[in-house]
Amino acid sequence: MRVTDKGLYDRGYASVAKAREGFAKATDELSSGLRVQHAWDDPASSAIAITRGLAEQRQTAIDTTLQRTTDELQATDNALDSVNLLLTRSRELAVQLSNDTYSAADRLGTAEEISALRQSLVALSNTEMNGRYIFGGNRDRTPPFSDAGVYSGDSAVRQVEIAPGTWSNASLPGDAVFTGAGGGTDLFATLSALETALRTNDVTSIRNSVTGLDAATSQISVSRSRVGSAAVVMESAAATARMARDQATADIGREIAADPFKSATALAYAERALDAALSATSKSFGPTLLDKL
Amino acid sequence: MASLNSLLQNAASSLSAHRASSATASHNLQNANTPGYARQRANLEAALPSEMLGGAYLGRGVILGTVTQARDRFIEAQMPSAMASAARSGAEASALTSVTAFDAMNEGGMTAGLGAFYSSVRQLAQNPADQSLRAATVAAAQQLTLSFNSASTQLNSARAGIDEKVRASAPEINQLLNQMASLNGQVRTARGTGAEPNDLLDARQAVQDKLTQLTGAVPVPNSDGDVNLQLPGGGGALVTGNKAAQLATFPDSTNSGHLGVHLVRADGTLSENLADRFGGTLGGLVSARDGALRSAQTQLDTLAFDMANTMNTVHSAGYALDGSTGRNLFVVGAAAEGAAGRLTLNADIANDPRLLAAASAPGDVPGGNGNMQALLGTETMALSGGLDTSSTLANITSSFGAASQRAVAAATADSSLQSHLTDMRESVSGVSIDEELINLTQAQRGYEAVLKVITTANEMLNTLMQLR
Repeated sequence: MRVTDKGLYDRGYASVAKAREGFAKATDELSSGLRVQHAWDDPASSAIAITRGLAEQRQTAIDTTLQRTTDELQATDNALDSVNLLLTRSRELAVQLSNDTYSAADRLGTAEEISALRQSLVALSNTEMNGRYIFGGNRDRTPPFSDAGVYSGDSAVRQVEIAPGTWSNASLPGDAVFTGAGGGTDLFATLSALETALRTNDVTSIRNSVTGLDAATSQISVSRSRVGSAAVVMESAAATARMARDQATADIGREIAADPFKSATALAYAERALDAALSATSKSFGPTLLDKL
Repeated sequence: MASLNSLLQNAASSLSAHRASSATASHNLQNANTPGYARQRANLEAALPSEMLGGAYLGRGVILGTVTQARDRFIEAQMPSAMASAARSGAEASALTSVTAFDAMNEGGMTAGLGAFYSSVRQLAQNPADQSLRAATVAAAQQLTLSFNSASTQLNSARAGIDEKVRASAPEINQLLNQMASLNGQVRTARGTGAEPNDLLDARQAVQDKLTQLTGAVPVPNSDGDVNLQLPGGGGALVTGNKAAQLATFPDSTNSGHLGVHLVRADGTLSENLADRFGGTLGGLVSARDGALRSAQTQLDTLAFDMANTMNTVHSAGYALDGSTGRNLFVVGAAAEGAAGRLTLNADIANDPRLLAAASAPGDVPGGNGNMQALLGTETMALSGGLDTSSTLANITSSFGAASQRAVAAATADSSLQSHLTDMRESVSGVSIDEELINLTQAQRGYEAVLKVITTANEMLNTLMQLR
């Protein structure tokens, strides 16, 4: 084929431009770590990266909310544990002061302690975490229990998402836990009754209060087991969410991430190709008859 | 003496021939780098008729026969199609790859916006009365709308940018069409002298090439030596002989105001809108604007419209912290067209996150999350196209990506073919400096040889004159 000078220059221009383009692309891929940066690089992988990216964010959010819920359940259990201790102490005092060896004055003094325990119960029933009164049901922005133990929350059980589209109970309504809504024991009334019995030196009533305190303790125990079960569900769901999130992350990487070794090799080849193109081009502008005449 | 005089005359004629030969080589050397220049060849011929002397014919030296261009008709016939295709696919690929709105890993893109919005709703569902979570959800909702607005703006800008290019190219194309028509006339006039006007032919070829690249014009030579230009597929005549049509752009109301193109014929009449009949750069731009870009914009608008309305239906059924209900979450307008650009967060909610309707019943306020559960349900709800939001977005991305990928692949293939044909054309028509230097030297030596003939004839004349 006849080779002209302009043809040589044009060919040199084209080969250097192509080598530079390849070099730039290889540099871009290695520095960004992405094989697919634009939709046209690989349309199918881009589409998969979108759906998996949204799945990754979904599972991350589920994990975050489950962590917060677990913290609330822990706070709930801590409060119920304190209530349990409080009830245990109350029972001890009830048993102790139902003994005929104690005087009315003794019982009066113990009534003060029961009163203090009852106030602690009110405080525990109004446990707050992150601005939320955890025993208030859906009415969780104001203390659900008055000093008299009257409940102003509701019976709603909060739900949290444990998997996409799947919701699970994550709270205990205060009325069921503390006032025995649905056939249980009213803890406030039980302690109030004990306090009154102590103040009035009513030994029979003091003795009878033990039954109520036992029922209250059992009620709290059941509540704690529910909290424990819910916490197990949350933990398991959180672990599943993290696994799903990690899988989504891996899927995204598989679709669009660049293999660093392949990228580095491609860059080395591209650099060599550019060097070769530049050398070949400079040599092709070599001797003409102009140099000899 | 007559023979010696005719010898001198023949030598003079030969000098002219060799001078023309060196001038042609010089012209070639000077145009070695001129784009579109086809090397010329001075064809020398022995002068006829020969002179009779005694029983033999004597030659009369050399004359310049013709000066011809070196062009391969086969290659030249393939060039317009290759150039038009390369220009078209290159323009289309360039237009499509300027749009990065659908890149999956775009920070601030729609994927990030959608994911952040639903993540914030998930977190709000865990504690609906928390003000900081409400504020975060409002911010995420605003970010979602901005991501759609940004994508829509990018598509609109790309299409508007194409309109500007179309508008700006019309005067250039019109000027070239006029040049082409004028050159047809000039070539015809120059040919009337019986010689080939090679430089005019090169000039006309260059204008033709430019028009082919810009418009996809198909050259149709006629028997008069004119090169007429037609739109691809017979859409209309751009140049007929020494008459040229003109392009006129206009806002096409049937295409959302994007530019259409009329042909203003030589008699002043207007053609229909021929924007989609062009090839070359103009055709590629229009194809991108009215093809993949329009399709992506329509799909994006539909997605925004459906997504917003689906969420609005759910949100308006819920109850805010103040117990109010019936409030839409997003403002998107009454029609899908332009929805992605119009999408905004309800200003009431933007100003007061307490108006996010998290509860599904008035009695569930403030801690009830029933409506947030329902809002999360929209994530997997089928929209008008039968797919949920994320699948629809993925679908739009893959469609646009596939169209862009096809354009890029076509541009690469077409460019490769054009390069190959250009190399072949250059091989036939291009100037080799080495060759022309040899030709120049050859002409120079020939000239020197003829000078020697003149000198010798002159000496012979002098000798004759000195005879007594």
